[in-house]
Amino acid sequence: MLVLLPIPFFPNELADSVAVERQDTLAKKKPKKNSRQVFHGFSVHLDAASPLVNYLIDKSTLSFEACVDVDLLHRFFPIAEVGFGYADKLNDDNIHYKVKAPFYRLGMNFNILRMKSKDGESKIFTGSYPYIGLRYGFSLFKYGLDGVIVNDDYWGVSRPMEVNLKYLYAGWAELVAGVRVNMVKGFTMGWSVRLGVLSHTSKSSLKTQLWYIPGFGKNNTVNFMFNYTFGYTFNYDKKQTK
Amino acid sequence: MLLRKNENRLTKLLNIFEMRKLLILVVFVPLLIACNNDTECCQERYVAMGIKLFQTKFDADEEAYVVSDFTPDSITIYGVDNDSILYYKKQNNVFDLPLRKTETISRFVLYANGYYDTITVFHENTDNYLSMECGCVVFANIKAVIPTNNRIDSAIIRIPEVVNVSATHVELYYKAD
Repeated sequence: MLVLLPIPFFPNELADSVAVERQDTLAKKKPKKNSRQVFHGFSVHLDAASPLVNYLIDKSTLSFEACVDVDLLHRFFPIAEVGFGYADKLNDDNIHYKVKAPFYRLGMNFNILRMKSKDGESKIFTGSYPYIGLRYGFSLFKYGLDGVIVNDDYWGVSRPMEVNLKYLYAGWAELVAGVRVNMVKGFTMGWSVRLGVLSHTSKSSLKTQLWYIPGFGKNNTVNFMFNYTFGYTFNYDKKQTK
Repeated sequence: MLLRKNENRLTKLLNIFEMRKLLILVVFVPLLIACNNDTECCQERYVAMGIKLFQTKFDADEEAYVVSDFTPDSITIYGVDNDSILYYKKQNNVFDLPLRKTETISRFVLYANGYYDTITVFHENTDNYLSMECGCVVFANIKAVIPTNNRIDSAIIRIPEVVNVSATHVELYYKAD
């Protein structure tokens, strides 16, 4: 209702309040001498380890992933990772497991490098830093399973068991530790190790049923992962843009 | 003092990571590869219907029928149309009988103390896929148990869901000698 009131009803009071507001906004717009630049740039990275490690451990799995992270205050690095996981496994009992689906991770890296010297002066950020981080991973997928045989040893008969393809999801949390190194002219690379914990699936029994979860790896309640990334950092530092 | 000392140590430790020294870590970092044991099955896969034998006797002192455990001097159990004997001349009163996984009617012969009896179990089966390592198990839900009455008087279903082997699913009551 107050918004709808016509302005001429309170001309003096309104003029005063507008003047005060203008002064406030002008004061806010004045650049502070010690104001810190929050956004410093962003990086785009590709992971080289996932396909290699997957191939070395088990040739029946394959995974690709890439990530984008944003540099905030050189301390916080919100990150989004996206990838694609694939598994086509035939085990000794002729059970055939197949899955292929994208996966997503969201989280944040924290630069653990000391940014100030002993006398309190800020150090120059070189783009190289060690970090720890957290992630939440998620994948929506359907898996194929065939070759499951019901063996009735005592009665001496067997029959195939049908397992329907289902749309499922799995979510997990990851603790990350790694380093990022500025190589030359914005080209950066780094590695990280991850401890993943499977937190939830669309059905509790899936935690053991799923042999491979895209983005999480071979099913286990706890998984170790390794990434070796390389990419480019787009720097938006004021000093460099001037 | 101690706090400041620790802080200095931490600072020194963090400085190790600074600048181009990180390059060494990037180049020479060892690959941490987790080995998952995906070849062994750690879950119980044997599912069978547990039965226990009882006998009903008339107690003259109490002037009432009393139920007690019944352990035959010798009992042999096998499936109907099956040459394989499950228990041979045993002296026990608790047994595990594997229900058919591919059909819904399972029949067993119990030869106890020289008398033959047959129990017919009507059940529904449910397939349960466990994992690639373990394969699958078939759970059963017992609908009815019908015995012949040579020596067996009756059968009572105590636990209809057969999902393990550590339970007495059915109680068989033998007639008094």
